Amino acid sequence: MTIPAKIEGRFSETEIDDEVVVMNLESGDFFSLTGTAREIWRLIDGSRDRAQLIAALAEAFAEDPARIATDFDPFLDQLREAGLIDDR
Amino acid sequence: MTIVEAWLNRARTIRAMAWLLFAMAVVALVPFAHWRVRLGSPGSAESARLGEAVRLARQVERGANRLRLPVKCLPRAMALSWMLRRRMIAHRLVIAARPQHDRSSKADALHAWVECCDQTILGELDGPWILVFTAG
Repeated sequence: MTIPAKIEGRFSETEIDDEVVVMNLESGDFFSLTGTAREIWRLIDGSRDRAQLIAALAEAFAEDPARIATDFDPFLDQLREAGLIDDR
Repeated sequence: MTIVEAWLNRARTIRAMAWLLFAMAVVALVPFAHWRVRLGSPGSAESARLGEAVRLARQVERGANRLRLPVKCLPRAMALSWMLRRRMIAHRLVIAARPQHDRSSKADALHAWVECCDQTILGELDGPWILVFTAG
């Protein structure tokens, strides 16, 4: 069981209104996260595995977990590719 | 303006152009992690020499205008920051993003500017802005 976790010291983030702007301090790349993406980012705290994250999102958005999972996995792959999270 | 002053101004503009070209090369070729720590300068109140900082900012703007290439805000801010650091002038370099609801295109999504004595001396642009990175 792997747990997605943010890579400390790799990014800076600023939240304003309904948006989180994340900057990768290694590459200088920016990411604007809103809606589900923002919620996923906030829920990744190094304590929840994939199933727990999906369950939390399903509850937050009153959505079917299977439907959440179709967007969740590709987004997590994007975060990994961006160097913002890894799996512990 | 005397001839000497005119030539000094030209020399200063050429110097600014050199810094701008260097900054553009760094942005293009060097990972952000390697140069972000060399931006900005916190300094003290005594080292925040606004008049001198503004003159250097104008030199950077003249240099950018002289270059026959588009010079974006970040290399301008970097060039000025390095010029200010060399003179140990306290300043802050800011990189910010527009909030999503104010973003009309990718081109205006990000911006960089330089502040000295709590004033924007280079790259002033109306907000709103989300500050994502500051140096100094």
